[in-house]
Amino acid sequence: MRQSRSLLLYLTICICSCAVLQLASIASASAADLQEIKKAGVLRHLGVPYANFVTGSGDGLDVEVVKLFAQHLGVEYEYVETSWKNVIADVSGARVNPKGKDVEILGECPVKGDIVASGLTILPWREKVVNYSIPVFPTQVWVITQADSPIRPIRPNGDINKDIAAVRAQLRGRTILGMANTCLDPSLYGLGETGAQVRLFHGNLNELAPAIINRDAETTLLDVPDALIALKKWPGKIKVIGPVSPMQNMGYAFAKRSSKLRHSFNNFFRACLKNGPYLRLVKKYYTGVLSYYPEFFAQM
Amino acid sequence: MGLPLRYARGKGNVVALLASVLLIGFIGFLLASNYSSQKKIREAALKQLHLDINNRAAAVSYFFSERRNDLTELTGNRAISAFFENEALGMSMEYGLKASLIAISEEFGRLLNQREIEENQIYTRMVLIDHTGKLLVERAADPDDHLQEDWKSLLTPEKHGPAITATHNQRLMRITVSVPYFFKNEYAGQIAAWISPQAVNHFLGSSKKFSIGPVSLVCSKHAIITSPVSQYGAAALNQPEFSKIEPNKPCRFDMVHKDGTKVDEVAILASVKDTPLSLLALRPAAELFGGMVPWHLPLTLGILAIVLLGVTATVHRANTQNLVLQARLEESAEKQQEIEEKKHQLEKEIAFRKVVEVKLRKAHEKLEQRVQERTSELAKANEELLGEIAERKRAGVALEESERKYRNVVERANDGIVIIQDGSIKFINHRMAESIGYSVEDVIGKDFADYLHPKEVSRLKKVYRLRMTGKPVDPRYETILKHRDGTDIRVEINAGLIDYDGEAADLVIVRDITNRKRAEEERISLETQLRQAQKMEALGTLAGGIAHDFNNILTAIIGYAQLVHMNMPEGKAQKNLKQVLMAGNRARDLVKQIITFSRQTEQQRRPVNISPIIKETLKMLRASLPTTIEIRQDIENNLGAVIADPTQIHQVAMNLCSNAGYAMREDGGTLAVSLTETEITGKVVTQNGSALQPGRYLRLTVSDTGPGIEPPVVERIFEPYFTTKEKGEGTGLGLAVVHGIVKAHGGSIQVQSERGKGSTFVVYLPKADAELGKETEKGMGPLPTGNERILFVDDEKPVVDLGRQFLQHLGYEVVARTSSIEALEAFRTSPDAFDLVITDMTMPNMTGDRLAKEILRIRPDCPIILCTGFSEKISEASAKKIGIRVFLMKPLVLDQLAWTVRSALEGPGSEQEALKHTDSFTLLNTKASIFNKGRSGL
Repeated sequence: MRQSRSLLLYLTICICSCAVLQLASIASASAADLQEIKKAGVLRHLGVPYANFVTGSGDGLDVEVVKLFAQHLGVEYEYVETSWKNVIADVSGARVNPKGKDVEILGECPVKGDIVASGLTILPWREKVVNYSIPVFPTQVWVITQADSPIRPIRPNGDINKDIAAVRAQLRGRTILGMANTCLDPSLYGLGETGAQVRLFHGNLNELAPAIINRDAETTLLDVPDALIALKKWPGKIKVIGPVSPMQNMGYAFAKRSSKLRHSFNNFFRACLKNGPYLRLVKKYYTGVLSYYPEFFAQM
Repeated sequence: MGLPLRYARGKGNVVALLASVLLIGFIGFLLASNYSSQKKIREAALKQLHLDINNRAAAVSYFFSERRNDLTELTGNRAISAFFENEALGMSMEYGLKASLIAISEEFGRLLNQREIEENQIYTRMVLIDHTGKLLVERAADPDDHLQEDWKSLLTPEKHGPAITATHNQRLMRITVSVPYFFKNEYAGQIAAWISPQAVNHFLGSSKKFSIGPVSLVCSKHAIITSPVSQYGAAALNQPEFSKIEPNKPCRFDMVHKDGTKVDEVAILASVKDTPLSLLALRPAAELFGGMVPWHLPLTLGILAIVLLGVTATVHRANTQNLVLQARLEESAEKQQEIEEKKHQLEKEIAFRKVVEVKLRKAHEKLEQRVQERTSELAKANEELLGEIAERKRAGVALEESERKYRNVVERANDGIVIIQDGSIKFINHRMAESIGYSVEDVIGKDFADYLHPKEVSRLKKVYRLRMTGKPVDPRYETILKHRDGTDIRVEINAGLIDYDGEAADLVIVRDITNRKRAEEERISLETQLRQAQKMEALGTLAGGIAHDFNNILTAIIGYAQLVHMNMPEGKAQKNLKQVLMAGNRARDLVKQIITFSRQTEQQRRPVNISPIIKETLKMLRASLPTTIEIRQDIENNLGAVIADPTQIHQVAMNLCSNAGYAMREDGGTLAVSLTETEITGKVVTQNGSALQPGRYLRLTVSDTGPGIEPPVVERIFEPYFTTKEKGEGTGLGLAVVHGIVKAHGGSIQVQSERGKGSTFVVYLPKADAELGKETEKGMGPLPTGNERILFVDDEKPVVDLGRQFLQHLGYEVVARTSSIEALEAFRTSPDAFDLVITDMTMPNMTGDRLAKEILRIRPDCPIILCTGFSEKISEASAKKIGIRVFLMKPLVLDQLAWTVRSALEGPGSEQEALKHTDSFTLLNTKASIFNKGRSGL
């Protein structure tokens, strides 16, 4: 038993090492670092229209932050729209298939952007392929259902694991919506194992809450920023059952080789925090979150 | 000079004394008025203070009502209801519910920031408390300011609306507004807001329109919340006078200032509606009423007036003496100046007179010069006048010459020229006068309407009146004038307005168009006749087509009826069948008659017995006349012949009888027709002017018992287009045609009519010398028979069958064919097998005439009978040319067929015998003869 575990660990390390090496070779071939961006004179922002991070109308919290960053670098800003399916590939140049916390490398693809900023949750599998900035926004994944659903919101226990267990216990036999390749992928939280009927949603993330109101499924996963907006938009129509994840963070993603760019961003972001522009933007786009997680922003 | 001066001085003193007394009285009046007005000013100031404090209290009340509205609006806020909804759904603070509270906090924050007066926030704090008294949301203007409070004290579940409360203690004074919140009709909590006293103070200070100056807000226990009363310190509130102040009752008392000085103050209190608050105005009396006591001013002014009076008297006295001296000096100076002015005036007058004398002399000289000039001008004008007189004489001569020329033109013009003024004739040329049968002198001065046709008078008077009043009227029109002998003159008028002897007149050019109109009418008549002829031609064509088919039908009807009749024993059935045969024969005759009548041909005059024609006409007419009209006929049969066209005779009879029937169409009556012979011995002139020569005549009389004809109508009855019938019922040509036909036959027509007794038309036709051949009684004697072989050809099978049976009945051997091709083939096969060929004319593939040609080509001596219903495809000449021996008119009748066949077989010379025995119809026998004695082309 012990021997088989060691073997498994060894194989995992080997796979990861190979993956990292392969990614490094791919990245070195195609990704752009700080010098190249300055030389090209343009910073390409990869985004997916989502909540108030990227509204799709030319603004949003992350759009404004990246614009400020481009201004800070002295280059032009360029928005490159992508999808949740391709967002990691478009910045890393590698087509991957998430396997739980690991990834399977499928091949190469062209790099379309330099920075992903679109309410991107920091997930272990993504960290295998890209590098994240320092955490910029708090999040958590909640289960949402219709207001008149027989599923009752849990009573917080003070222990996040117990809260998650209480939520999972109610999902047996229920349909639950999620979205592949995002933080709302049910497989990330093992929801299939709860006996819930998992359905993958193929529309826009912003359409998950309306899908629940329209009774396309009994429950759905939503992250906190989106859930707070949904509660404000449709008061009395939906309710929060509880969490399926511990507290998470969002960050901006860079190609593995764009370490200087990432470093430059982290410095820029800290300065933004210190001088106030970032909190002003958070207040502009997510006032509720600022009050909901005051400790997160206080720590920053 | 001295007396007047003294008198003036004495008088001036009295006046000065009186003025002084008046002045003193006036000053006293002013002082009294001033004292009174000072008192009124004080009362008005108090009244204004009272009014202003109440107005300001109303404004403050409005301010607090706005605050109540703020909280009432919050109770409808979606964020608050969302919180309670989410709470009811069981959501926890950790997972979602807290977001609702944050949203409420944001709403509170928004309201805190929005409500401000002069950049001072009205609210200092807003809270939401649940029904247990637990604080849910607290939002303060100062984020670090957290209030420790017994929140339960704010709950007012029993109330349903917002309320203002004010509390105070030594440290803190506060005003709050709160409203209970209900979720799903159950008390869920309370919303409360703290109103900043400073904001209220700013509101009080911002009301600049009130003149009373700063006021203080006090609560019900007279605790002063806002300045400026606080300048007296807290001790001021303890003064007994202060606590005695009642709302709306001003009171005055001394207040001790912070520095210890006493101030005379006036205070007034006003309640703020719907709040526990009041407004207090405290004003120093000196500021409100002014520092001066009312009697101070009158006293000061009195003393001042006395001093002024004394000084005025002294100055007046000195001034009076000075004025007297000055008046004397001015008087002497004025006299001196007057003398100087008179002297100066005299000098000016002398100089002026000299100038006038010079001007008068010059004017006199100028006048003499102008008289001379004027005299010479008059002489010149006289000379020009003499020249002008000579010129006018020449012009007069030229004018006379011109007038003579124009008169010549007018009098010799072909058209009449008339000038009418005021309705009477002012001028008429000889031409015009003569054309109406008068002299110029007869007509001048007469009313122009006297010479118009009576029916034109009113119309032309209207036209004349319109023209003379300047209304638009067509200058050209036609009218009828009345000749002196009563005849009508049709004229064309061209009229226009002219100036005649200085007044408006109507110039009328008259052109006689009688001949032209007559020519036009004749042309129209000819055109109508042409149209009628064309119609008749079309009718003929139509009738021909119908007749062909009818004859085929009648052939079958009559023929088979004859066959049955021959083989039927005598009895009732045979009699009935005879009626069928008679009807069939009548139908056959009618068809013939239609064909004949409709054919417009050249007149074929020949000796004709007209009796059958008249009878047949009546027979035809009977069907079209109502049964209320009885027809009586007295027609002699053997009256001899008339040289006539039978068709036209038929037309005469038909028109006369139709007219008679029309006259009796409504009331019925008797139509009597007689035909007799008469002899005229002397020359007779009929009523229409035609003369009848002596001789023998046939007299046709047609009379009716209708309403008769009016004499004027009788006069015109034979005119073309003259009709008394309604439009569409008659053309007006009927009697004209009758008249024309009768006249063309050398006869005459007369009409006699009496009102209410009917009309009678009598036609005379000259009797011919020629004798008519005697007609053999129809059906007399046995039918000729034979045993020859006959080829019978017709495309109609019933006709073929009938022909076969007829011929077999007569003893002949018959070979029948319904196809001309087959018949030709049969003949070609054995040409000598047939003694006679009887063929129809109209057949498909090969017509009868072509068949005849082919047969004659094979056997030129073969006798051929060509049968026809009605055909114009073959003429007599072409038939002869082909070699056809006989035409046989359909329908086939036994006796006719028997005689015709026999005749054809026996050859030329037998026609007369055959004619005697055939069924000849008198009217048509010459045109539709079976032996082509009449015109061919049937």
